Amino acid sequence: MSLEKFYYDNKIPKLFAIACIFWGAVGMLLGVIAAFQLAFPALNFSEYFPHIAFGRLRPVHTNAVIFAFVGNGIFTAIYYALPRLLKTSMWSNALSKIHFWGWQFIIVCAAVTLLLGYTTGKEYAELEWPIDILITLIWVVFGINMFGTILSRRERHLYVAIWFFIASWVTVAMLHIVNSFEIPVSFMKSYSMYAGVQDALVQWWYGHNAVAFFLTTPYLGLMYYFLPKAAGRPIYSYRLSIVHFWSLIFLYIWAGPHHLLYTALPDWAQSLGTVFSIMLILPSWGGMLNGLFTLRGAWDKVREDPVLKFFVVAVTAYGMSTFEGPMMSLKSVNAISHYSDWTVAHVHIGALGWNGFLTFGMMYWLIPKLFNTKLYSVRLASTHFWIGTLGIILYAIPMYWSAFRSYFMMKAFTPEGQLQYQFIDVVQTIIPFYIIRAIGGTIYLAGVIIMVYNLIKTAKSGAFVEREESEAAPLVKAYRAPANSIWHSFIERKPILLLSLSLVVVGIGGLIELVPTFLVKENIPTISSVKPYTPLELQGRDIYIREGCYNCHSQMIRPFRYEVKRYGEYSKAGEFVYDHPFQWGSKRTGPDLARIGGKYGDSWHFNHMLEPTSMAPGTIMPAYPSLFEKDIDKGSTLSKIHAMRKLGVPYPEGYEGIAVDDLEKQAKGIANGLKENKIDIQPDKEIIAIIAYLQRIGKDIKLEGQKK
Amino acid sequence: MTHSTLKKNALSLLAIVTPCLLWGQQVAEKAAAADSGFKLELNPVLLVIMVVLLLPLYLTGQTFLLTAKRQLESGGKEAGAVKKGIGVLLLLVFFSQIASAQTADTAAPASSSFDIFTWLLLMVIALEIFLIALFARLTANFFKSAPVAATAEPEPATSGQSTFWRLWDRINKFKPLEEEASLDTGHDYDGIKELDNVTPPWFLAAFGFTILFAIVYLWRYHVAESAPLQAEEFEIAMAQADLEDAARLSSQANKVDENTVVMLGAADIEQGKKIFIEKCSPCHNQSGGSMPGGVGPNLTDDYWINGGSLKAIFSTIKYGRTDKGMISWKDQLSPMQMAQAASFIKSIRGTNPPNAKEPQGELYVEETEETVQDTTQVNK
Repeated sequence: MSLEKFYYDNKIPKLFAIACIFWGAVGMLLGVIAAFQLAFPALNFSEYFPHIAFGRLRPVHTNAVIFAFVGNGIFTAIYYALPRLLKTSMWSNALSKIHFWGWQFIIVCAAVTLLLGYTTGKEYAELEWPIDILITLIWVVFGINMFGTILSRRERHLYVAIWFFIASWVTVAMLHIVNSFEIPVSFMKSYSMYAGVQDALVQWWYGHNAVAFFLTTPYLGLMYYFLPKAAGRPIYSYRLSIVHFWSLIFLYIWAGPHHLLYTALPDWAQSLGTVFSIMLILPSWGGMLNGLFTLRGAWDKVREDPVLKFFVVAVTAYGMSTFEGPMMSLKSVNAISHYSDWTVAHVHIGALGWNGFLTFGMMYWLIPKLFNTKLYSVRLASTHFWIGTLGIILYAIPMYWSAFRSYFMMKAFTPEGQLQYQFIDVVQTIIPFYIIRAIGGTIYLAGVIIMVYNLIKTAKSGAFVEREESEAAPLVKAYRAPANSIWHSFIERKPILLLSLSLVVVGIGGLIELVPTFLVKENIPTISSVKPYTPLELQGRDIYIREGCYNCHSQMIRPFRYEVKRYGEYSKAGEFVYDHPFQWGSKRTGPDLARIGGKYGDSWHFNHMLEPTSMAPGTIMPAYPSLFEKDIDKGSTLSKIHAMRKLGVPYPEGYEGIAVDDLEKQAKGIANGLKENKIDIQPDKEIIAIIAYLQRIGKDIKLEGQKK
Repeated sequence: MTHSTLKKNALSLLAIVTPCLLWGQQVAEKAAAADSGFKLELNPVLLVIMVVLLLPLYLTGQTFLLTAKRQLESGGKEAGAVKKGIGVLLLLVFFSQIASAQTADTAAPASSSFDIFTWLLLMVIALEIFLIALFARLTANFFKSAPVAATAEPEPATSGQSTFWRLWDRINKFKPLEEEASLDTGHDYDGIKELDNVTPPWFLAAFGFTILFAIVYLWRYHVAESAPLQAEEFEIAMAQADLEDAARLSSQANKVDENTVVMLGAADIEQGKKIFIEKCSPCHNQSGGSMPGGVGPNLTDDYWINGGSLKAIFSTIKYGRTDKGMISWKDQLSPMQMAQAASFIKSIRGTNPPNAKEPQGELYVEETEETVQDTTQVNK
């Protein structure tokens, strides 16, 4: 059997590593800015740039960190580890390049379009349909390249890291495609195919599993390669790998509904979300245990080696997060954490601790290898480690604190049975915590900058190794497994089987939750008084989505006394049947808007949008002066109504013909009403549309005598 | 990283975090110092207990430190235990800081105390008791083990391990590192080997437990229906609140409604003014006169959109005129508070504040003198 010579390419991993660090720093910087905006609304600069108001900046931050920072981190790991684990070169260098540049192009498109206000309004899936298609194409390119590599391997069995890469690839493809079903209205504008409760369920099935299969499983694969490499220790338990891999991917997919506890989602789906989250604890911990136990016998090294230090904290943060998450899925805990800063703290333990530190550890190990040198400064890396840890602590603790404070304030009643605090009181209370959090984030970012310096110095001190030569024998067709090999090794020899099994395993949970919600009518009881939006309201709703109002305002009143008292009758599933997309939100930095319609006068909204503090002293909402200058995009009305009807919204046949007339009539009515209050505004300005929409929300089922 | 630098780092970290939080807490308290009526009697008591416990904690900690130091000087044998003890001491520093944060926190705003502080206090107290016990035990251990250490020099290798680590090894079913070769699966992926250690037994047991939890949970909520789903949970909470409301409304002062409201006295009007400034001034201005182009009408002139009698004003506050932009306040103000606000509004009639809004609505002429009643006498 002759040995074959081949090369490991280092150029693509290097490019991905650079992109990962660059976008990481950018994404974190945006996060820091957004954090300061919450404390100091003047930083929204709404007078000058409507593009960087919090509502638009936050999605850029989340998308940048998830898909640009972690995404490029994943690809760095895969393009470096996969060939080495399979004893082959990447299948196609051309596809690698298309993948790299395509992904960076998507990131740039994403940043630009989100800042310009092109958004679908669905969290972590904000990108509009042309970019969605682009993502799909590049993802397929990546998949072909990965599978081409796997199929041309010289290593018979697939290592556990590769199981995770395969499962991640196929699941992300499924999630992205299903959640992105949308009907284009124009170039860069679409409506989600699903409405209300169904949209919410699909979205959080996606959103939760974006965390699972983009932020978690690929990074477990990363850990399984780089941690034993850096520690020079064998993986603790092969059996544990098998158990936790299959149980993790099977259980994870079910847990999406825990983002919708106490909402209008049917009870049975909520309960599934809760119990599958609880069952997820141990499979998640399997990864942590295998990581930490692999370090058994190497703890003396951990004290010295910054790479291992980062890994240990990353894996520990992973364990903490994956315990905390299930706890937050218990209804009583969720009542506190939902819509609060707790969720924000939770995801940042994961993002800063697990993803961030794992990435940093990988970089400190990988860059010296790529440049055939030693790390420029171990001390600086250690400093980075401590600064990063401090950043995480300063980030998380104030957020937990503020979450509990606001919960107890929100639900406090006076002895007279009245709400003790106004929403604005709560906002005022937590501003100091926002400041500390922003400082924590800044410190964390400072650590990253130290790393950048350290890594540049490292790269300069060495010479880049473009490719590494290796040799191995090709696989022979005939193979008999040794008698004592376990059943699972069969799957490890069959990548396509592993791919198919993964798809089946992750498909089950989704099917069981999604299909009944779509087909069984009882899940969303019809409310006959709920009517489609008027053309003007629809335009207003699109402005609401464009400005990212959902980033701070929910539209979902939970069935609690203190919420009903504060906001009005709790939200019902049937109210959202024409909401493409749903706008329930996930965080209440501002008050819920599900029953805002009719609560204040038109002039209140007018003044509030122009200068929020004039109507609500102490508010941190940015002003929206551009709405008073821009004209409503009346030309799009026709295609919007048309698209909505295609989605099943019952506008009368031929309504397109009179829709614009209706829009103008309603706009004039509002403008005239404002005139009575001595406010002069043209009826074709955007502010009129958004007032129309806000005044409509939640009004259709306003019942008499519902208030207690 | 050596142990001492680690310690230094941990300490400085704590030193930075704690004051930051303290500061945040205090600023937050100031912001939240809205007037509220109720106080928790329990917290001051717990606070005292907590502070008192700090003394024995300090003493046991010091004693431990002293013995530990002596032990270290007398021989390195017990160095591991000492290190662990110092670790605990670090924890103590952390929690005592939290405790002092807690003191500052609960002492400052007695007005806005929540149950969470009670819980925090309880937790700190529990921790103090635990640490006192721990230090006492550790110190006692030193005295016990000191002579043994001196005599029995060559002990088996396992003696270096504490009970905790032995237990740790047992619950994870760890094999000694020396036996690792026997566990090798023979896998080698780019130099990464895999061992065939068993899955920790507690892992499987806990996994089984979560599955059991899931079954019981689903069974209770959806099969046996013995636990309330969210709609039912809401009904229960509202029924409870209704009962409380009924009990409250039976008390005199709060029985006020738009038919029975009467003009109140000076003390109540003063209360009404506070309410007005907090809730009403965003639309009606602090003077009550609104302003040209303002949202709400002028409340100081003789022209009224929804009627100028005390009863009409009370009713407008209570139910709102949402078509005109006036919101309903009955969920945010008690009947008494609305009566106070209405009385205040009556009291500012004719004050002619500068830069007020032009008259709106109809001229209202006072029909009869309304009776004045000072409820503050009754209330207090």
